[in-house]
Amino acid sequence: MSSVITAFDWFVLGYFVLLNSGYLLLIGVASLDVARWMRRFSFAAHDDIFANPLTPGVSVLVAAYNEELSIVASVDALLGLKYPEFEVIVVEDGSTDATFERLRQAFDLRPVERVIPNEVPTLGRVLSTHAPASDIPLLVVRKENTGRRSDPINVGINAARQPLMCVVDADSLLEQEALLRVVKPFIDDPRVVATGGVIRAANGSRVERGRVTQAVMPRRWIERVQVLEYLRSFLLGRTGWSRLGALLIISGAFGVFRRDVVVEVGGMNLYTVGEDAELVASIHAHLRRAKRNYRVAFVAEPVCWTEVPHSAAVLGRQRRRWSQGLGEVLWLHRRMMFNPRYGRIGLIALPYYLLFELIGPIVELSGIPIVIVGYALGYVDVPFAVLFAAVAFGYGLFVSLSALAVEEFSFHRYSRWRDLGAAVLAAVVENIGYRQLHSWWRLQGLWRFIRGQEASWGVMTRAGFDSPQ
Amino acid sequence: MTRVASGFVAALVAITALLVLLALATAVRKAMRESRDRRHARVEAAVRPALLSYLAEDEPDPHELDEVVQGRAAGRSLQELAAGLLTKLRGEDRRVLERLLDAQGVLDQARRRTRRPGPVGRARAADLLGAAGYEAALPELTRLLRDRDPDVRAAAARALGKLAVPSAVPALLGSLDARRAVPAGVVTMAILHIGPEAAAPLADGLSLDHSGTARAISAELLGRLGGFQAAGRLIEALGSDPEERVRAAAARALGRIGVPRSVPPLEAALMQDASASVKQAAAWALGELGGTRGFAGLTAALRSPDHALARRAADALVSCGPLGVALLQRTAATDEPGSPEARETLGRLEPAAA
Amino acid sequence: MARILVVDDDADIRDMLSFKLAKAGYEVHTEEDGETGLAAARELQPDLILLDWMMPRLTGPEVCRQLRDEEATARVPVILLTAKAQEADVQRGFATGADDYIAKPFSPRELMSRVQALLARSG
Repeated sequence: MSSVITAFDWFVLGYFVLLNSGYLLLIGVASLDVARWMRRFSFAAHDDIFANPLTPGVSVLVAAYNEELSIVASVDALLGLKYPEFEVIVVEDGSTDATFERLRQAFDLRPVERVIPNEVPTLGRVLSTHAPASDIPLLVVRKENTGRRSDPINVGINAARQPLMCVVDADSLLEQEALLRVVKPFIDDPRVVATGGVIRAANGSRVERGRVTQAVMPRRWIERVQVLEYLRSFLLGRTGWSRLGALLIISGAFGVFRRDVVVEVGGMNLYTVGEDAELVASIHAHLRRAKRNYRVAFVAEPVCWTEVPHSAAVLGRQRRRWSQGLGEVLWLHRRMMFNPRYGRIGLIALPYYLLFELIGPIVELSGIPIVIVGYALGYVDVPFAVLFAAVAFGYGLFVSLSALAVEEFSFHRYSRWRDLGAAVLAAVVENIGYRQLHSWWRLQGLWRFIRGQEASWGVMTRAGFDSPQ
Repeated sequence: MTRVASGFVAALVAITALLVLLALATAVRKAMRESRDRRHARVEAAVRPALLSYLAEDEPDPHELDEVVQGRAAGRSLQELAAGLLTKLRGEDRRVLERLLDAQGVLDQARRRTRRPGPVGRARAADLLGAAGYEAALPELTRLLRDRDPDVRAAAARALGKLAVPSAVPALLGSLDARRAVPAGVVTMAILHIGPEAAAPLADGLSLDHSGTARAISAELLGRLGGFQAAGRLIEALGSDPEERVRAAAARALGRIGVPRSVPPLEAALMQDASASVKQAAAWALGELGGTRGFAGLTAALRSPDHALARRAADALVSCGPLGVALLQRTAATDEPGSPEARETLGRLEPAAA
Repeated sequence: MARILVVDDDADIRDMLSFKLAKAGYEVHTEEDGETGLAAARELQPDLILLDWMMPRLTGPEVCRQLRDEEATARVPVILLTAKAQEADVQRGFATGADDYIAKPFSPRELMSRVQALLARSG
């Protein structure tokens, strides 16, 4: 029995080492990219993109459900983006509050005729379309609610008329040059079909008129840990994946796609909670099968900030949903798994997400009861167990601190020493307790995925649109 | 202690050491950056007012600033400020700054730098030479267009644009498809900077011995630069170029240039071209040209199952005058194809009509 | 002693114009974003406003529109400065009530002439 436990312990340790080493690899690759970007920033020529009349236009799509408190500020901020040619399309998804009324008053909306062809499938009916009396490039589409986020986005896709489309969350806070930065890869390389931008946690930072003016670490530990998490996984994880040519997930909070390609794959999947990841996976699957030469890029510069949950209850719901969504996406595209025909997506990215992100929580959490049982039965050598835990913890801490170091060496958005200190402590806290809690939520999400589809819709109606206010 | 346990201890010690090192490196880096920023701000605070009041004078003498600019830090600060300002200005003030940089030897230095290793330095040098409008550096910049590093090539292309020398256009067009290519967005902006004098070499870019990308971009830019003389060649491209993006770009260009004899070929393209995007471009162009000559083609296009085409046809019909508006009103009242688009276009007209 | 308000988020441009205008004998005030610029315009009642287009918080055209809506500032000459120079943008600029429109990169000396002309006309 003791040898079984020992073998299992070694397995868990090996898993931790592999997971963290994988992350370190991603961070290493990403930091090369970031370093390269830093040195060349002064001549990145975003001003030329702004002044060029041939720069492709962007349709900014926002799904809005019960966002009366912040919708006007959000749309105002979007309309103030620095970009030569764009339209903002707000799809008001049958809100039960005053979302539409606020918009109507703020922008003097009038009902207008707007042809919305059925290029990608949608479920809810479009009720009416509205635009301001002045020449502000805003369109508000009202539709009936069907309880999922992908439906309003698909309506937006149908209504969009520019060659590029940008999907943002209603509560995303974009930097003024965000569009210039995430469109640049399209201009530099005609093979690019989609780009993702970095999402950072805005909690605690100074926000004025829908823009983050100074990055500040928040006070609550639960929020601090998420700031660090986002740095690690968005800034570095995704940059790393992109450099490896295997970027699988572009966050629904901010992503830019070529509209024609999105229409080819049928828009967003209406039946999954992980609709944003599913869109990218579909694009990969479709273009690889068609043997087209394409790229999915990622922009490391900070472009988008979002309020992250500040209570464990809301955070838990979000993480369960993410995990469930991941399971659904991997299942929908299981054909690509381990399939050499799909290149690095099939051979590296998908297996990684399956083994470390989806199934990972099982491994991470099973260690604890096994150790307790073993100790009760007298099979566990306490000093050994402590060392074991210390090494696992230390390695995890090292990965988190590396992410912090890269951020400090490159974008250094957190200017106060106090913030840096808070971030270091948050890295410690993250590896004691938060990680395990997170694994538990992910396990629950995995369970829901396994149990089947009905549960997912029930969760989505409310959890999908929790306003952190 | 067992071997395994001592292995763990070793690992723990190693990790702890690395952690401490990492924390130290981060802290040191932050402290160094802050002190460097403070120093930089101090130097700039002295140099900036001197440069700006220098610029405010009518006939400034470059050597006036020599006193202020003592030492390398001040010199570099002055150059950065001057170069930064240069990119935002035109006219005599810009020439004042150019002469200043020249007197400081900065521009010659930049020319030499374009020949040395280190792509970041080469790219920065190219940027500076372009911003300063240093025409003497034309040969170096043309050579940098074939540099191994993509950022250097892009910087060279931008610089060539800022020098506004039409003879650079063929090289710029050529860099679109070279093995060491320059992104299209950079090339188009550079050619736009060169201005209307680029029209003649762009017309050559329409010939079939250039790539499809070069031809499409030439057409697009001819439209933006008002290349009247190239209208004939654009009409030819509209009718017979093998690639649809070139034909579409030619249609758009003809719409912008506004030469009346392009209406029949545009109408022909609208009715007969195989590609949806070309038809859409032709419809738009007919709208830009105005007048009733394209009426028949637009009427047919309004009923097209392609919504994007119908929409453009509806918008274009407005510029056909009362005839077009009347057709739209008749169509809008029905349920036929084209009626939603007609209603949308008429809806936009209303405030103006009222 | 005419009073001029310069509103631009670019410090180089703000300072350079400040120096030049002051040298030419004008009284110059500067602001770095649309919101503070609007507030300064109301408070100072300048004789001319130089307004950048792309600014954080409140863009140039929005400031111009609000200025025109208010009795006190409805007739102040406004010159818009911007990197956007397409025909549609020029039209929009004038539609919001600007008196003149200068594309960046610009010639400061040319700008000075326009400033003088506008001030002479508005008396």
